[in-house]
Amino acid sequence: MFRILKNLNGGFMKKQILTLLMVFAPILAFAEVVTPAKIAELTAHRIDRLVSLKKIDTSFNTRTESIVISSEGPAPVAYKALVSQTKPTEGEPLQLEIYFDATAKPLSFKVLPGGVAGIDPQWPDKDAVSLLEYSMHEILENAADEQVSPFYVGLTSVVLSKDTMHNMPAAKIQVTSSLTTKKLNIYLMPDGSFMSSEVVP
Amino acid sequence: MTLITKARTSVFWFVLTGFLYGCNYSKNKGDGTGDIAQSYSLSAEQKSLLSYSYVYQNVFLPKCISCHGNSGSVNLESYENTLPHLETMRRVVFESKTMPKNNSLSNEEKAILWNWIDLGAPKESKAQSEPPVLKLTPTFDSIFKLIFQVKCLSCHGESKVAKRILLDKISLFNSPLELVLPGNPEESGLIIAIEREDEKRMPPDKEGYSKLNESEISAIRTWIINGAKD
Repeated sequence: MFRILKNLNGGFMKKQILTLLMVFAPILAFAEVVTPAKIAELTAHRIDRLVSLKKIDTSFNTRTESIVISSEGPAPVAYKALVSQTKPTEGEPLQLEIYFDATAKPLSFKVLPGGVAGIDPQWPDKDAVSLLEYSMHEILENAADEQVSPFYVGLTSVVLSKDTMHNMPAAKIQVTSSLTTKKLNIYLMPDGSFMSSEVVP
Repeated sequence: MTLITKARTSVFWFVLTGFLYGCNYSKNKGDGTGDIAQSYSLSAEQKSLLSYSYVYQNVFLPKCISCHGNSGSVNLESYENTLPHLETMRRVVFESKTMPKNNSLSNEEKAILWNWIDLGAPKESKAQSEPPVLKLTPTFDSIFKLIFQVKCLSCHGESKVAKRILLDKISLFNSPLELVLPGNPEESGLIIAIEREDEKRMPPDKEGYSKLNESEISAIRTWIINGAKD
């Protein structure tokens, strides 16, 4: 679906289809249609799975900082997730690409060469990938909300950082979308439970 | 009426009221067992069926084992482990009614449990032949009935907290999480989840749920090794 959108030359048609997708976001969410937000959630799952299978370094569970979703790649690839760790003290962050087909089935992965494991943010309770996964649940479960639906349908990136709210430590997950210049900030407690969210310019 | 007379009258009525209340309280409270025994009476024939395995199948497995399995502090998975907890069981189920957590025992289940304890918790039944005990086999139906329904569906059911991961056959096979890869238990998400030792283990230790026991894990593994066909 998103390949078709990408290849459309007419900006008007693309806007119309994307608008339709946002309108029908609640139905899509109920029917578990694959959207970039779903892919981001599955990416977080997949990272943990690859760590459990000892196919990637354990640092990806604790130090993943961002996930960027794009709809590119030769068939059968429909989505690519670029996972980046926190910045290391020296060198470039360790990165991983995961490829999914149109049904969100993971196809393959590739650890990009030249990266180094990042600084451990030392999340006190849930690890980084769990926090990212829980934040995506907030989007998936609130897809019908008109403020959330652009991020459900057009999510492009998710960035995790430490923050505070009401003087309590919080995980802040900032989400961007191709459908809006605004950003969605989701705040979770360190145990992954939802605190608050906001849409900012 | 003089003040003293009034005071005496008040004291008299106070004492009388207290006396009557105390009698009533004793009558209502009693030691409790007579009333409970009457509430949960079973026929002689039903009582003859009572054994540890009967109580396990009909009460512990559906209602208790998810938390009180082999990795819980109160372990009901074997007769020997259950025996030390009988008095506690009687108290928390029938007196304080704090267990199961949502008081979910049916009257029938309570009757089975009460009478079994009352009979001295016999290991074997007096019946000539006991009703057949469901045995766990490496088939989906057996795994679903004896493991998933008992230990997983309280969270992994429709409209439950973990509804994103359902455990019916279609959901298991079609999940993008690769929960069941026929022939490949090592990479099946279901096996990884139940065998891992960290806080992401399922059922979740942090929530007080017991880890699946060896025979349960083995049944699921064997089912997957055999191609997860039936």
